[in-house]
Amino acid sequence: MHHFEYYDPATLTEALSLLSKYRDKAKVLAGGTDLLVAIKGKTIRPQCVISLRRIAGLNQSHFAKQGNLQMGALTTIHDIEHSPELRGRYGVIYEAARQLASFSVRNVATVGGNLCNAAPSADMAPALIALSAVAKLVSAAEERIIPLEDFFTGPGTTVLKTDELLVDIQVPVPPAHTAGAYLKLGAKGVESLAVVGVAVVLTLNSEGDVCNDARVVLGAVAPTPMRARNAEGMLKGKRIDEALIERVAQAASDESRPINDVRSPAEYRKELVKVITKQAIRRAAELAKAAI
Amino acid sequence: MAVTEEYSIVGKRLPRADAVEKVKGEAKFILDLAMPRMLQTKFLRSPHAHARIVSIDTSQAEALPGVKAILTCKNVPKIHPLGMFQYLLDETVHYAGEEVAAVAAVTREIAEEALDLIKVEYEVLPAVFNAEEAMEPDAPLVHPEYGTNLFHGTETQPAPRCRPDGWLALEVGDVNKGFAEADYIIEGTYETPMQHPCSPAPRSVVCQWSGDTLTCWADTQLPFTVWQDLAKCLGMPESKIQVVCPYAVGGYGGKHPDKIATLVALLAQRTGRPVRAAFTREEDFIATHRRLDYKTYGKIGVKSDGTITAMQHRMITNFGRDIASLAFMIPACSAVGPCSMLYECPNTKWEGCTVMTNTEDHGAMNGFGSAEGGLCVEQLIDEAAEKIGLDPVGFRLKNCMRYGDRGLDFIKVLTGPVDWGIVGTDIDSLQECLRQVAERSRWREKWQGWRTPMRVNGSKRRGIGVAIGMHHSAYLRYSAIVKMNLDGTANVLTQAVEIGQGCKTAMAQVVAETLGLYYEDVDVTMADTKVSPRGFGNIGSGGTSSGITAAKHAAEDAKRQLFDIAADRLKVKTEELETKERRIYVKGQPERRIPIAEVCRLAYQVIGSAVNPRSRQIIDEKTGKVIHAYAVAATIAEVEVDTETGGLDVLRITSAHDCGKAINPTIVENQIDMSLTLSNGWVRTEKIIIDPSTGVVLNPNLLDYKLMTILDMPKMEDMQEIYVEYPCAWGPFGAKGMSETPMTTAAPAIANAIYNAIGIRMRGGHFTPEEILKALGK
Repeated sequence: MHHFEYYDPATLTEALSLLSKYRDKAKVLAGGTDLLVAIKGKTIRPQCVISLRRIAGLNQSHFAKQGNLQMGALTTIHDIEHSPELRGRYGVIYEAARQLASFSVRNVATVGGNLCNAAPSADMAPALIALSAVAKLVSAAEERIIPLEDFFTGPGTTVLKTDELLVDIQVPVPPAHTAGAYLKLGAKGVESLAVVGVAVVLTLNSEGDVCNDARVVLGAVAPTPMRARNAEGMLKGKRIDEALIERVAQAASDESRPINDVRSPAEYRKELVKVITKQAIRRAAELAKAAI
Repeated sequence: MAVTEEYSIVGKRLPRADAVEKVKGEAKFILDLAMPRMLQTKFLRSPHAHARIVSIDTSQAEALPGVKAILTCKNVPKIHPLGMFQYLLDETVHYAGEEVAAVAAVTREIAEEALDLIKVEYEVLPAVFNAEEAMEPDAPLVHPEYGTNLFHGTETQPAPRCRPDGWLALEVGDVNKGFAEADYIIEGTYETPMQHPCSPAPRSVVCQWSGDTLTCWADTQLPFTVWQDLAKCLGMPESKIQVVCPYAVGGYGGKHPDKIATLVALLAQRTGRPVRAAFTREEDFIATHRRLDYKTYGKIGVKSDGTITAMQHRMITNFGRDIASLAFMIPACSAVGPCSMLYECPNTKWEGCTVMTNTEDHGAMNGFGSAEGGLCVEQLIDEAAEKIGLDPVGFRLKNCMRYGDRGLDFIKVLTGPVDWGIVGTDIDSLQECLRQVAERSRWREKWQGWRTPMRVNGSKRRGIGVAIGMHHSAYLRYSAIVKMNLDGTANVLTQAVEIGQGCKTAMAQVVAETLGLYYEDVDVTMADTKVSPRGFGNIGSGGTSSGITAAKHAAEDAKRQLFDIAADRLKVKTEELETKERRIYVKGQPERRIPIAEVCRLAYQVIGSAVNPRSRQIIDEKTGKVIHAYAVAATIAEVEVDTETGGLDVLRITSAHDCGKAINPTIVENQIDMSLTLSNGWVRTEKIIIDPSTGVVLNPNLLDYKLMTILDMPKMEDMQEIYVEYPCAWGPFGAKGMSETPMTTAAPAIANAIYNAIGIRMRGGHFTPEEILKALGK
């Protein structure tokens, strides 16, 4: 393996100061399930690796006073999967966590790592975007909060500056009668990267017959996780029936921009967007109705 | 005709002989070997599929502190390892990934760093990757000196029956006449994909010299071949080379020898230090051999009454860049196997060719030849049954081979003479296998008729399918020694390899049963060329049928010697003696006895030894013909196809296998599961993706090569493993090798079940969701 300096600062301040010193020569270590593979495979050769693993509190999630969910960037996928609070309205997060990679990977992989690695197929991204999550980015000099849907710029790239860290993800309280579903299909039934991932979050009216708000977010079918805005627009203010689901799913498929790669041909991914979106809408609608 | 005789050790579910040390981490695999001053090896690999090395400069790499030796084509002997066309390190590279240099350094990291410092200038040559393209008259030649890409024999690998144009044929009767007699003719072209063996541990080797003696620890299934090739390449007497293979790791055909042992031996010699090489997973994918890809055209003629009148096959196989594995051996197993024997048919014709391309070696892998031929034959047979409106189980019961049908050693296809013998009475187990899987899977209830799914639920359609299969149970010449100890225990010396399959356990059970000892009294020393007598290693399911057969003969030789002494002491004839529970008795007079330990002491030293009789010496009493050994099987698969996603779920597999005699039933069941999993992976998820323009493997990792695992297989009671015991003529207690028949039956059973579910024939060999959707016209 390539040689690098290794730092494991105990505080965020220390970590940020190291990062502002090394900038693009540094790589940040969270769970390491993507980073170490890349270093071993020599696709990256960082001069130094800064571990965030000793920084207290970064791996904790809690609900802030105003009810927002605050998820530390180093919260493991396993912890998310096993948090009883992350069900119900937040259930889409649980569904994504549950389907991410394998048991052993989930034990160490983190939500921040999954997002910052910025794979188009990252499972956590569609689920969190569907719940209107925002990301808190901090550098030694400043702090900013951006919508998570604006975080990604391409495969493996984000808006993070070279001296910035993603420290937490905040999810506003979903309105009443909200529920979501994340469905994915990989090359195999288990432990596969998504060939297509779809997160759907629906907010119904109090009677449960009209969709007040909807988010449809697609993974692995564009350079970044993407909102299928046409599809979302078609759901808002409408009664959800099979005919509508069919049209919405077609719209989502039309919006998707998949590529051909070793994991799957583009045409197949496009066909799957349609199928999986349908299933995800049905499931989200069912869960939202059940919650009324 | 099941075995009724009761044994005390054979047939028992005894714990594996190597379980405790493996579970406790005490077993020393090659990767665990650490020696003082040991160097680590890394290989520089060609980025080009075909290129001439114009210049190679290692000076900077040699100057790197910690680098101890570098081998290139400039400084290694001009030898052809394993009878290949290529030199040990060649001035021409023939596939993307071929070794260009080997660096030995004090650490792996330094060796790896040194690779970046080696400057190579290549002249890129035209390359060809697809077998059919390589057959074109103007195709680039992989080995220009051979003049063609179609293998037709060399001095080291003669193929006298092969035509100079590269085609090899095996013909019985007159297929033209047969097709003329047929009411229906069914034909189709089937492709079967490559597959990577994916050993749990990529290959590794350690070499150490002491004076003029070389010791080589190799993770291989053929230590004997490694030994002979080392002697040949290094110009050394075999007596000075010791190849040891203490714990090999799952080969599935993939742990064939290669030239790495020779390169590491040279590095060890030049540096005067022990040297180790261990492939990474990526190297395992790009630079070790894999299952051949085939394109098979098949044609079957049937009469309305269900009689098969003719079968014809034409097979093109991609052999990759060289002939380290015996070229043609693999397609020949299709010829002497599913294409000519699996069904009773008076007129068969098989033709095949093996084509060299600029891809990594293709070679033997579990079920080789039989699986690829079977995937075509078993779908054609289903098509034929549908045409005449017969139930697919019934059609197979009517036509499948049985005792007295023709049999042949596959090697005779290549070398001649084609002197057909027969299959023995054990082969009637094929019908028994079919009957048992049909009953256990409740076929009668579930089969609704042709193209009628078992159940339709929205986009999900369930189907059921059946297939039968066969694979030779290699009967090789093989030897063994049984050395009796003074306390009455025994050591077996054998060239067979314990590679996870359970051979060590089964061998100890057979020897203990034969000598009348307890299981724990027998210890087996395997695969040490300085200690064990000659044997070919593990190939073609031969561990039991060849290796353990020799061990049984050696144990019988030891027993004869023990009986001679005991008879003298007990004042009886040897025929009056029997042995059990560590004692020799006079039959019917249990009080007249002598402990085996005492006989051993009286004898000073008893050594039993044996060489397997030649196969032509095994004659069927009734017909007077030579018997050939095959294992046979039947599998029924139930699948669910999602017509929206193309998703294929295999819900249930019921699989029956003829093992002659289950020496250890648990091990037999484990082997069935192993090979069924390989067969599922082959067609469902595993796919080697080669860039069609560069020949580079695009997914050389377990992230994107979707290896079938236990999590992807049907669970518990949905995996029904059945073993059938029709004793084989010469196997130890009637046992024969069965570890490859599951590979030959699961994939075609799944294919036939898919057809039952959605009415579509999958002729491309991959039943992935995108292929299924494509087939459904989406």
